[in-house]
Amino acid sequence: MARNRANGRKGSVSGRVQVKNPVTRRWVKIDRKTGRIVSHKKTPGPYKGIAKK
Amino acid sequence: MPLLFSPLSEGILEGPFKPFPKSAFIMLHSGKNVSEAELKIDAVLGKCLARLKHPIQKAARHSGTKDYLEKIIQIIRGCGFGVAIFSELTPAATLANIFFEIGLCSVFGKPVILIKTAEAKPPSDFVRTEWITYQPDNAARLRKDLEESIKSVVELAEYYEALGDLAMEAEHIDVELAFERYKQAILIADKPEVRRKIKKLWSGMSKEYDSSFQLGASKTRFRTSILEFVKLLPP
Repeated sequence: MARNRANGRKGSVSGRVQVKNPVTRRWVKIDRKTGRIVSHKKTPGPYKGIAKK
Repeated sequence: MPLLFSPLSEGILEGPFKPFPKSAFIMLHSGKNVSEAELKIDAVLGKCLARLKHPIQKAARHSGTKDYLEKIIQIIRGCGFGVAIFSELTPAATLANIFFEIGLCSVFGKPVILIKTAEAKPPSDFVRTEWITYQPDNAARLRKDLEESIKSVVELAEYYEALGDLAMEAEHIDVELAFERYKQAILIADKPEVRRKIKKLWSGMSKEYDSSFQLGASKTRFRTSILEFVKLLPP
């Protein structure tokens, strides 16, 4: 689970996971509670602090 | 999940369709007066798809007594992905058909590979879409670009499978969503593992679990969609 510490955040956000769409080459964030896509990353690279599937 | 309606019968598009796993639905100008560039692209595409073991589905090859548009809709539903070809010489009416079919592919969740000649201008709604551009003096480049595009579409099968798994692993299991994602994966790459996942999903629903619990997410989604619609309606 993510925790905010003096030297930054440690761990990943719980309840979210990210998967890369191979066609758009963008990462997609998914809500673990519902299994539904919650957002698409607009810029290259993965989301910070979100576990990868 | 929103229901899809047939543009012909106005009924719900929920009836059975024949799946053509790994198949590509080809959208192009056919018949008379096809430009040389389109013929060349079609030939290169045919070879690429054959080499990568993806059968081709073209509306003209399917016989039947059904309405032509109805036939196209059913073929698109059964295919894994679409490929559209056009040039600056494609007649306006054909171009309209091609882009209508691209729209249908998008609604049915089918990825589309777009191939055009350098001179052909894409409609403004597609300016953000990536294209494969055909240069008449460089068929080898077209082959390479096409193979890369097809391979990235095939990789989508794993992506959809992962989305299906996440729907099944979710706190509120969503079998309806998982089924749709697994179906997309099977129609693109047809991995036996994903077929097993659908069978497991089905047997789980019919035997081991209380299916009303597993369908809870669809009911919630349905209730939410009604609430959202009513809330957002202008006074």
